[in-house]
Parts: sequence; C-alpha cells; structure tokens
Amino acid sequence: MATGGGSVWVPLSCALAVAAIGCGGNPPAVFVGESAHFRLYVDPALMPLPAAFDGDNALAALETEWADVATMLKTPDCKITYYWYTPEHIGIACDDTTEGGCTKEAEMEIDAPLLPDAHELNHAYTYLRSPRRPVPFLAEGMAEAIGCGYEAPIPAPFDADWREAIVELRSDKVYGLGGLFVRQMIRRYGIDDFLRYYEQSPERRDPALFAANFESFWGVALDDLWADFTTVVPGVPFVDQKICPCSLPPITPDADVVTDPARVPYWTLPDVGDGTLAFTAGRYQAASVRSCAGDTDAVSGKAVMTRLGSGAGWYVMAPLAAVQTGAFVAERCADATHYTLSPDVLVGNPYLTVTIPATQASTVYLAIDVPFPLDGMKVAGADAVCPTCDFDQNACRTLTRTTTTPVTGNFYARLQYDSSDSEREYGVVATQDLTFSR
Amino acid sequence: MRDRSRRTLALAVFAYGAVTSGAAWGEEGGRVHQGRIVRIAAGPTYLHESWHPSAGTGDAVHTGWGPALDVTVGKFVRPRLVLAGSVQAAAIIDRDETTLGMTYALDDTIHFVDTLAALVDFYPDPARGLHAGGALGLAFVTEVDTHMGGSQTSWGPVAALHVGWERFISRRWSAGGMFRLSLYHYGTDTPPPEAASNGLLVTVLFAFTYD
Repeated sequence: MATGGGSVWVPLSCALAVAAIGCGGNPPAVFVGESAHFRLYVDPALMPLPAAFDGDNALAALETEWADVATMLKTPDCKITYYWYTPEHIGIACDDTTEGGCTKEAEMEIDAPLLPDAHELNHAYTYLRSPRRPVPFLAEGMAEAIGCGYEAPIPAPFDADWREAIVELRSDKVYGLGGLFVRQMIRRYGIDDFLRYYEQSPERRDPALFAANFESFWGVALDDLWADFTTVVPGVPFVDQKICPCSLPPITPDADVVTDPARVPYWTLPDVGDGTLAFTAGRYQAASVRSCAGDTDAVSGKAVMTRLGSGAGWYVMAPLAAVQTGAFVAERCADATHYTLSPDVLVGNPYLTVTIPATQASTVYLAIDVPFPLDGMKVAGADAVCPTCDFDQNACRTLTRTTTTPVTGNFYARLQYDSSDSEREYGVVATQDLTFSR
Repeated sequence: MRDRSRRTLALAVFAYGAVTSGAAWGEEGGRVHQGRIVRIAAGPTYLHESWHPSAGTGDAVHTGWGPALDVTVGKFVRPRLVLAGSVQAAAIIDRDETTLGMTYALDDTIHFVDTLAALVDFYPDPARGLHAGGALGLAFVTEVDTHMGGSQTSWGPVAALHVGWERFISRRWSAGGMFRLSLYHYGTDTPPPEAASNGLLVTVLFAFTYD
C-alpha cells in the first residue's frame, strides 16, 4: 500500500548511532547500512540474518532490484529508507494492523516484511518518477505489475466491474483488477507509453472521469479493451503473472552455478540456437523457468529441459544445481544428448519437464541416464520408453500418458507434441512431464 | 373527513396563521429592516450536476446532499430593494455518480460549490417579511478526495433565484427561511479530456438577518 501520511523521522544522528534502536515511532530497528539508493534498518527479531542477506548482501539485494526495475521505469536516483520488519511489526509501522506493508511516499520510506518487496518498491519508484497520486486502482495495479519470481499477483475477480474498483480504496478489486489492468496495458502498449499515461491519469476516484481520460489518451474505450483483457480463449490457458524486467545477465551453461540470490536472484536464458537447456535443481528443490512478460505458465520441475531458440523472454530462478546445453531434446533418438538424472528425482514435482515452442506435430527423443541403483522405478508421461533407440521393438510400444513403464537402467523416451490451432496462434509453448515413481 | 385530509387542512391553517401573524407582528410593530443588513443562513443543500466530457465518452450525473452556509452583506438602496454581496459555501459529502446506467458511491469525497455573487433582494411588502431575488456571480467548484489528499478547483458563472420569508425576533434581528435554486456551469481540462459541468443546487436555508 502507498500512503501519503506521516512517517517516522529518523534523525541522522540516530541513524549513525551504533545499533540505532528505538528512534522515532516505528518499532525498534537496527541500522544495517547504506548503499547508493537505500538506507536499511532491520527488525531485531529478524537478526541474525540468513547468510544470503547478511553483511552487505541485503543492501546488494535491494540495489540489484533497483537496477533491474530501473531498466523499465528509468527511476531517478534517490535514497529510500527501507525497514525490514517481521509481519507482526508491520501493522505498527504502517499504523494499520491490517497492512502487509506500506510505502510512506512523502518520506520515501518503505516498511516491508520482505526484502526486496517488489510491491512496495514499485510504489516508491513510481513516486520518485512523478510525485503524484493516481487512484488506488492504478497505483496498486502498478505496484502489482512488476516483479520477478514466485510471488503470484493478487488474483483478479473476473466478474467484477472495473468501475467499482476505481472508487474503492483497498479491496481485491483494487489490487486484483488493478494489477491485471496494468500488466495487460504494459504488455500491449509497452512500459514507456504506459508510464506516460500513468503520469497524467486522474487523481480522483471517479469512474466516468477515468474512462474519459483513458479514451482521450489511448483513443480506445476502456470497456472494449477490458473485454479483450478478460476474455479467455478456449484451449489457451489464461496466464497473468507479474512482469519481470529480465535485465540481469544470462546464465552460462556448462559452468559452475554460483548461488548468490542477493546479486543474482535470477538469470535470463542464453541463446543456444537449436540446442536445449537442461536445468537441474538443487537437492529437494525445483527449477522454475518463467516468462518475462508473465503471460505463460512457469515451467517447473526437478529437471527442466527447454528448447526455446534464442531464449528471449524467459528467465530462470536461482538457485540451481546445474545448467547444461546440448541436444537433450532431439528430433532423432540417436542425436539425443544424454541427461543424467538427479538422485533425488523422486521428490521432485513434477520430475522432468520438457518444453518446446508450439508445434503442429513434433516427435522428440530424450536419452536419460540413471546413475543410481533402481529399485522398481517406473516412468510415465512418455509416448514410448525404450532401453535403446530401437523404438520398433515390441517392448517399446506406444503408451498412454498415464501408463507407467518399469525402467531398469538408462532409457530413452519418445515424446509426441501436438498443439491445437489456438495454442499455435497464441504461441503457447508445449510442455510435457515425465514422472517417476516406485 | 379522512385523517389525511384533516392533517392537510390543519397544516394549511397553521401555515397561513404563521404568515399572517408574522405579517401582523411586522405591521403591529411597524418594524422593517433598513439601512445596512447582514444575513447569515445555513441549511441542507441538494446537488444535481451533470458532467459531459468532450471526447463523447460516457456522461455522468453526480447527486448528493450536504450542508450550506450563506453570508450576505448589503444595503437597502430603496425601501423595498436590497443590493448585496453574497458568499455561499456548500459541501456535498460522498456524492453518488451515475454513468452508463450504473451508480457508484464516491466515498471519502467532498464536492465544494462555493459562490461569490452580487445579489438583489426585493421586499414587495417589507412589513410582511416576504422577499425574493436573484444573484449573479462566480462559482468555485473544488473536488476533494479525502483519502487521496488531492484537490482540484474549477470555476464558472452562477445564477441563483431565491424566495424567503422572515419575521422579527428582536429589535434588530429577524429570523426566517429561504429557498434557493443555484445554477452554475464550469469547465475542466485537467486531467484530459476537456469537460463541461452544469450544476443545480437546491438549498433550504434558515436565515437570521440583522440591521
């Protein structure tokens, strides 16, 4: 939430004091340090911080977020005072026990239970760009629009009237419909045009004025666009996740993966041409390959194989155990690069996910090496499973997707992809899973 | 006679009695306002304001209630004629907006309509206390969103008609009531698009006049 209300003034002398605890009216917080764009205080109840955020890492995480989002918002330089509180203390800091975080814009202060908190940071960034107060539908929508990672946006009640959301202050309609509206607008018109619109939008909660201003700016009626934004195309999944700037460097395949979530919370995907990227998650973790535009379902699994050409428009979350490139997803069985299954594959969900672009009809092959003893392990999800590339032999007959096939060692899997017309029209990537069980 | 008819008759008799007794008091006391006068009035007001954006998108109608305060300072330039300046402030709280057939409550908003006008008030028979007149001036319309903290003021012409009645309650003070219709018009261009608004304020005032 963004507020224009008063905030706690943290005197410089207090900020510089050792363990500056209890200054002002906010709950006690320890001054951790200062970076180019942030002055950080942390709730003592959160101390000691986990290693990933200890020392300079918390400030580094904030600076990484700033730099990433600044590629979209072109945020002017300024210093934000960031209070990282436990959820229990947020209500006191925000002067509202129902709040989950707040941005005191006039003081450029954030009180948040997360670090970095993309929602509250977006409030601060947009206010820094233009110190004005668009209606909550737009302001909260903008805060809900940009973010990278697992945090799903607040769901939009589809059957609700957007005009009701314009007049409301805090509700699922404001956050849900506002977020949906802003994300769809950014996808359709681009961030620069949307920001121009945002920064001239009404500062009064008046549905008729909002509609007229929208049509005046864009030359199209919001009702028409709204119908488009909320239409579910049969056969095409409706996906509306947050938009990630995707400005961080691409991951380097076949090299050691450095785990530094403060400075590298995600990697973009490199261009591997016709090759496949194979991501392997760490022990008891899952890899998650996500769409930068937030308009495609994330591809998750213990192992994720993607053959997405240039990789543009995709990112993968940290941490990862390994990333390899090769012909892991091959048109011919004999060409398939062998992928070594992780020993903890059975605790993944899903286990091994394979994604290629939308296709009318494609057959691909995987070569799976199993370096650990098998004890009655079965695999399902493939069109055929075979110990060799000779899929013509009887033992390698065509299976249904749910048929489980015992495997006794290394094996090859054949996958069939067949996207519908609408999936091809909308470019829905084709994903299939191999599941393993005993 | 049915109860309803009986009540109507009783009300009419009471109203007539009140007017004639007031007039009689004025006649008996021979007291009329003269010279400089100050009138302070307050009461409820009802707003009906239409909003028309230039782009041809959906119009809107705003309606709502609020308090009004009026201060008039003037002078009898003739025995029956007052020329005055009048300031009226009206605050419509949490008005409704109707657009495209749907009505939305604009909670936490105040719509101020403040007018500054030159006023003419005519007393056909000063001793009876009846008076009527009109005003021309400027209306300053301010939109306040108490949650958002923002406000925006526009202005335009206003014309008003009123009718009232008063009776003396002391040597220099009279008390009475007034009914006022105010019509105003203003335009806005921020935020775009340009838009025109036409408003009607219907105000019932309880007035105290001093000379």
